Amino acid sequence: MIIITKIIAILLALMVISKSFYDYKRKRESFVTFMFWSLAWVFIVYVALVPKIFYSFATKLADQNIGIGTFVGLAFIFLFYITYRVYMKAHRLEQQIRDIVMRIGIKDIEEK
Amino acid sequence: MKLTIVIPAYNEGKVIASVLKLMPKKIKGASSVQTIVVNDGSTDNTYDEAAKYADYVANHVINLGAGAAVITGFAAAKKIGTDVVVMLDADGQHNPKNIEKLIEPIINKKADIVIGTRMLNSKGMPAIKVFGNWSMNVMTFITTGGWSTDTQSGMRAISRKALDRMQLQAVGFEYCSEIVGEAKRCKLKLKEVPIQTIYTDYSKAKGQSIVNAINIFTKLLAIRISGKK
Repeated sequence: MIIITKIIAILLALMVISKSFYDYKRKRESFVTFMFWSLAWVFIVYVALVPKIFYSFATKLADQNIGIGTFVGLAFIFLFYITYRVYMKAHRLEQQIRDIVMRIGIKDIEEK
Repeated sequence: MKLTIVIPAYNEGKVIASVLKLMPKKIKGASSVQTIVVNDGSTDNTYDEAAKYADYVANHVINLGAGAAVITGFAAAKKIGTDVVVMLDADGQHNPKNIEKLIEPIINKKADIVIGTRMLNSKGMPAIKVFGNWSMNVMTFITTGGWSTDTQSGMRAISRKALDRMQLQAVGFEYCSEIVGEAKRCKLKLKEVPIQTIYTDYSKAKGQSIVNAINIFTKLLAIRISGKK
């Protein structure tokens, strides 16, 4: 199971980094954005390959041994929050685009 | 009474001209008849063809979906001061001769929304579509509480009162079910009138797929959960 998780993490990282590089080459995103996502995913792969890093991090952070479950729980809360924010923003943008398109659509219609 | 025929269209360049040519200029009970085509970001010549024969063309610069096109059509109809809207599909499956009996219950103040139902005489309709339509009726009832024998019919007549009261949000094909649900929520009188459908290879190919039903169901649930403003 641990090996599968590592393989999935590597494959996902390769997908995201290659997509980000493709977008950068096509000038759809900046070099800074490309570097940000590349480094973020390199870090994720590193954590997936060396999960023990959590233990040393937790010891330094809380000066005590906290379980890996605490980290996973915190990660879930954080990810759900991010997903919620992204969903709300996308939903709002979609509604705004829809309103604009509809208003433009009937702009020239006047009673004859 | 001012009647407006609203036709949402997406990539219907091949047939839209022939559909518009069949639109009646006079209908019993209506002082005027006007046609609005809503071009929903078509990538073919739908806009140019519609502009030749329709009284008005509302143009979406990008494709939003059938429901969004209907909302735009209603807004355009209100803007020109319509009293009754009749909706037709752009693929030519609806016979304009049915418009008169569709608006009759509204003129006689017996209905606010009239659905042209294909299910009371579904002869000629492919069996898979009959099954799909009845499934959608059940899904509509579960998600909105509204009932009709043909919730997915594209041929409807809607009074000005209903236009002003309904708060449509659906951008895709789930708008059909949403209208039935809004009739219930807004306490509007809904009636059904049997209509004949013209099935051609073109109109059969244009219909919704069964797979789309799941998508519609989840969107209707989302609308139900998020509630009306």
